[in-house]
Amino acid sequence: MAVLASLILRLVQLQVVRSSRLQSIAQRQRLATIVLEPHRGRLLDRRGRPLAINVESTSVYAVPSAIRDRAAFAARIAPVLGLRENEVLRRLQGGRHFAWLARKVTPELLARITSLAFGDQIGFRTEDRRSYPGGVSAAHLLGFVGIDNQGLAGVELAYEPTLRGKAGEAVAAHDGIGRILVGTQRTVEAPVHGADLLLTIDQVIQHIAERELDAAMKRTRARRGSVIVMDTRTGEILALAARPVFDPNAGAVASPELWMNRTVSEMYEPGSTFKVFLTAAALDSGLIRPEEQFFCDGALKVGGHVIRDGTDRTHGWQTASDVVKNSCNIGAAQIASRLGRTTFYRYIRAFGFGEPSRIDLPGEVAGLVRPPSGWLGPGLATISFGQGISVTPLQLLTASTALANNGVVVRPYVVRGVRDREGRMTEVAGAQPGRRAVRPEVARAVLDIMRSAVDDGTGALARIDGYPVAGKTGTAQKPAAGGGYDPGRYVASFLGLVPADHPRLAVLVILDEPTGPYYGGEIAAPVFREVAAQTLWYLRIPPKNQF
Amino acid sequence: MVAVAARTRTYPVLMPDRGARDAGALPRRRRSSPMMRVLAAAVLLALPAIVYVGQSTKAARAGYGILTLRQDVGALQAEHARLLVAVTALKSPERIERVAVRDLGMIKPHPQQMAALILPPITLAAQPAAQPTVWQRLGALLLRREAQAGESH
Repeated sequence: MAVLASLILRLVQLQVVRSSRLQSIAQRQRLATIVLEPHRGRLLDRRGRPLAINVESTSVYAVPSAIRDRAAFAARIAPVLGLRENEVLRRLQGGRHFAWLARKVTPELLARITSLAFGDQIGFRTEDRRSYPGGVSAAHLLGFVGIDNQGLAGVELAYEPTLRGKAGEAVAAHDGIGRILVGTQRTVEAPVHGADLLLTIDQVIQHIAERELDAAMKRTRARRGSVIVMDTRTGEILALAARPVFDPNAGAVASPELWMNRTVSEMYEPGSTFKVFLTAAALDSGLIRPEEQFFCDGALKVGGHVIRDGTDRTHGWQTASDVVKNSCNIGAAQIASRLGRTTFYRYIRAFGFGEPSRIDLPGEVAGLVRPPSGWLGPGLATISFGQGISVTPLQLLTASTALANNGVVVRPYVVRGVRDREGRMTEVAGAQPGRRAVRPEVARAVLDIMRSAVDDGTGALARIDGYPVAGKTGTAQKPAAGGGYDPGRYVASFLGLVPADHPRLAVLVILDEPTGPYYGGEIAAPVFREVAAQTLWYLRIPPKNQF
Repeated sequence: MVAVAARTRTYPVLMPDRGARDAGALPRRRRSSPMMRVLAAAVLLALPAIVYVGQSTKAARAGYGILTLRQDVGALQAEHARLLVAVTALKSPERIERVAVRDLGMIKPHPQQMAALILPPITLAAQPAAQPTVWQRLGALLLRREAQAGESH
């Protein structure tokens, strides 16, 4: 009787007195909260071709509480993972039930780990791994993600909230060896998957730009280079190539130096390509007439400084059109002095220099445009031919759209729209209203001047059979570390609009510090020709005249 | 008219002798033992529990089956994604160009070898409206007459 009574008392104690506490302990042991990870949105080119997608891969974690001999465990697994034993032991001390051993491992490594038969001591978890099937293609524009799929650069970073989605949560009971009991799973909050982004770039045009840039880099042995192709009517970036480049599939291990998208994050002195904007300002202000002539005798003295042409040539009497066509620094300096600092500065700002272009990419810089009071010595004269002012390649290209759009500068962008998982467009980005820089007739006049620079001037190597081309060459000296300019380092560039009568494409080619020939008309113009010609054919833009 | 009347018939019944039943002439029905009743009750009570446990086991087994299938689905999705990457890499313009130039010996055309045919914009010919039949015309006429008559009233 006594035994029976004690049993009954114990039963009451367990079932009544300690019931709720024991129940909660049992619940904690049986139930687990599962984080339902969202899938990151894909990046697609303008025709829906995948540029960044997700591949499921397996990650391996240890269950420290299940490991009796940690030293032996570490000794066995460390060589397989390529880690030191100390590192494995350190990770095991991090948590009682969970410690990452390796994230997103290859199938081969996974097979090796599985073959070691660690049983309950290790576990596996499926995670999304970002994959860029095009390799280095458009790497600076796309960017890359970190180990937790968080955007770290490029579009991946700029559109992180849209791409990432929102994690969900579920509660489920599990059995003794940790398997989920499916029937008990209850979704508390469903995950919201990230939306796909439809970019403005075209995979084929991107390939053309990169192929031609790579060939030019090899030919000229330039340190850096970039090519940007833009739709002049909308501001859509059709291709953005920069070298040197990194592989976004291994972006995190690449040198941070390579991550920088120099087309928006680095300034350079544009050189003679800037004369186009000087001419536009001069004509729009009415301070010079198109037929007015300026004399070039090869040198011009400005406040104790002597300005010369890059080629040391004498151009004689020439109109504003001739100044652009022959890329004459002396003539440009005279036009600028007629324009004056304040007026020239106002036009420089109207074209968008000195402020970010508001492209939807991270890390854009404003460029360096000092106020007129800071234009010391021959500042006005040197800025007239693009020295003493710093711009980003994208700013220069964006400013040129004013000449193609009757004087209106468009806003550049790289994302056309947002698509949900079912393929429906939920947001569409169109051309945004631009800002007027010059009058329409001035824009057309400058376009004609640029056309003459290609037909009869320094940009002859940019000519494309069947298509009229408006363009301007640039060869700028690079600033030296101790002040002044370095005589041996140049930036060669070419800015072109095509077809010149109704421009559809704006293309900028930059080759930084080439070895050997360094004139923009000599090494950058041919790259423009190849990129523009192939893009025109690809876009089925008919030639103006048959061959 | 024929009347239908219910016909009843009375049969004689032989009733048992009261004294004989009281004397216990008939054999007494045997009563089941209490143990058997407890056992039967226990079985009756346990049966649903046994069925419940059986069904739960079956459900758990099915759950493990679903779990395995989910893992298979996950593995197949991963394989699909890997294949998608492979397809995308195979379709890349860089590879297509390499194969075209190196393996197939193709070359870039000269501008003189290309011609652009500028076609007039395609305009869809307007479909001629189908002519109404005689009956349709007649129907429309009648409807119109009716409508006019309705309006006049």
